[in-house]
Amino acid sequence: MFKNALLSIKKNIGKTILLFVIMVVIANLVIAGLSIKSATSKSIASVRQSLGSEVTLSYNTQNMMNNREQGQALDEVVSSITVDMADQLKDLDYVESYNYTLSVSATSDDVDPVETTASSDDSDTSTDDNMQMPDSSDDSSSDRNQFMDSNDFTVIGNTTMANLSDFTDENYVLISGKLLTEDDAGTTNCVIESNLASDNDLEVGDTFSVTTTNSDDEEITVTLTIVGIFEIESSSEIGGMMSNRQNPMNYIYVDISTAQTLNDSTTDITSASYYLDDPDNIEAFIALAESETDIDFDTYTLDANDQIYQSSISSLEDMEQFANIFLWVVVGAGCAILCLILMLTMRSRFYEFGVFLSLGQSKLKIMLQQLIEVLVIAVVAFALSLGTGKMVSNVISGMLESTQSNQSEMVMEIPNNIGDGLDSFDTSSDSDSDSNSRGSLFDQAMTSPEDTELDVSMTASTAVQLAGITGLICVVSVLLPSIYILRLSPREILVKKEG
Amino acid sequence: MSEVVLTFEDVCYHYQDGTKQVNILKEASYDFEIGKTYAIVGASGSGKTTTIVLAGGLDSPKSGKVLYKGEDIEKIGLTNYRRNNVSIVFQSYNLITYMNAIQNVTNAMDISNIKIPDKKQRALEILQELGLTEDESKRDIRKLSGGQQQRVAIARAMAKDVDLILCDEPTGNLDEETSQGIIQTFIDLAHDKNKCVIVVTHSKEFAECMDIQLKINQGKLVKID
Repeated sequence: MFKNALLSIKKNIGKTILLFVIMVVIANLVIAGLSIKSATSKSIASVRQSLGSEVTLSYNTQNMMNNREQGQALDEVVSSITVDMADQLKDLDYVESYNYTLSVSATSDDVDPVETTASSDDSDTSTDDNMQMPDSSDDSSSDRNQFMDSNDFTVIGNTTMANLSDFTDENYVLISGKLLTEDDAGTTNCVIESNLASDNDLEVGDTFSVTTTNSDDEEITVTLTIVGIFEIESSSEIGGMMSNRQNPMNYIYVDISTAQTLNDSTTDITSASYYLDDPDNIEAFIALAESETDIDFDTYTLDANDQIYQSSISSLEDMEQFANIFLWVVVGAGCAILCLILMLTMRSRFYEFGVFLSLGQSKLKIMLQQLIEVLVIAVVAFALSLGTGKMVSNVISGMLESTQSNQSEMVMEIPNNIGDGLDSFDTSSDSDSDSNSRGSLFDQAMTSPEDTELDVSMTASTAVQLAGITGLICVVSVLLPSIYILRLSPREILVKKEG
Repeated sequence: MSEVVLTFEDVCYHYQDGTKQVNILKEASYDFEIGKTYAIVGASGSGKTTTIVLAGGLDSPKSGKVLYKGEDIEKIGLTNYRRNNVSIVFQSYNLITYMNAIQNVTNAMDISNIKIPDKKQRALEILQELGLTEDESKRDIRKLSGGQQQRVAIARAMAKDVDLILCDEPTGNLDEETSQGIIQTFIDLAHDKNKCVIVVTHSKEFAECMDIQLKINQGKLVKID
């Protein structure tokens, strides 16, 4: 059989070349489809991973603004997030870790703040400026002390600093000591900024005191021990009209318990962040939170900050869908073209089939010989296509990426408009959070074409899939015309041939 | 009486021509013996080729049986029967065009699962026995003459080493001299190698060289005395 197949390939060289060329084209297109499909899947996973899996419990700012009556003070509208409330979420499914944040404004007799340009105008700054939040990605704004301009420092309490976005994104970099972890719970350890440390000749191991005033005008003083010093690599919060306490150089990171002591409350926190096992589970987690807890989600909200993910992912999903359709079209067209060619060449093979049948060859073996012939050609075409497929994939993915870039530009314009609209509501701390989200949206939208650049490299998996699809096309292409002929009796075949 | 190798037992065969049924064979019966040559003669359309087709297991009778050494070939299995028990030589040779003469002969041996040490040498011996040189045996089959191609077809039939050889107009495309050589080959196969050779022919001369002449008369196989 195999010997006969090789003889046939060699002697019918014209047909062999024709089949080879068509198979190379089909294999290249299949590779392109598979590569793009694989690349888009990888990009979707990559975008999903870059998004992270953080969900933050914070005020529902939109509802808060809607419920606020004209002239009503914000502190009458805003209600704090409590530890009890946050604790209901930390043990739900999908939660791998969590962080509670509490921000408190404070003064200090021991250290001087890093002066900001605008610090002298603090007393004249508008309410808008006072609402600026420190590290807004990690907290929102229930802290009443922030309205007190005389405070030069913001003391930020965290359960752990391990997941703070400014540190994980390397906007802030630890240059000495360590960050606070769960092991620092209950201690008065702190982490400060390098300029604050150098201005006051402070280093790791030194201590200093900070003071806050409670609602009864009683002073609360805590002595902090420096365990880490960080440096600000980049921050959107430096510059502009800021008070000292809004300057990240005057941020003092402490354990949540220390912040609660300074706030004279063990129940309130500013925000709670939950880190899930997979970004895919964000929606499930939110649904679970709504059904399993008694948190009032008209007042509070769980924010996944996944707008950019959704917009980026939709174009990638479109591309993946295109790759799927492209693949099926190529497989269908490939089968059809090969079937057609084999059908056309089968006329000359009627004779051969008849002879083999008259000699006693089984129909199965005749079909197998045909299949071997096509597969041998396909294997050579397959090997060649492994080299050329990469080029075809690059050309097609390049075309798709340019389309994707256009879509990303459109995505970029949408948050811009949203931002313009939000500016008019910039009287709340959450609008600041939105403003930062907007910045994030800008940044990610600007970089999304690069971030989602398709890696169309050939993988072993693609090669295996190509082999499978090519094999399938060969089998279908051989079986259909062969069955058409072999359903006839040898006599009918020989009579047709003679005719 | 010699051993009966092939039996037609009340064989009927017909085909549809539009709404009309055309009967070819009607309860045809005959015993073909080993060691003898048979010629089936008759006008075109009388059923000569159909007889060969049914005897060769290329099609099945509408009714009746074709028996090989007493066993219904349908029970043997038509493919098995063609592979192991019968050889057919066609008027148009029916050679595989991408194989040379030797390859055509060894291919038939492979299909029939003939176990001999050197099939290629055996094929060459048969071809040389039939008058083809080694060079001709290795030549592109399409570059051989009609007579040479017919010899290759006969060599292929001989290579299977079966008791029953069927030939459909084997000399129809050949000149007289070549035909004579072919006729003698068939006679030798039957008489010297104890085969049963059944030939369909238009040629009166060819038919007269065979041991027994048959004609198809009203769908029946009738011996011509």
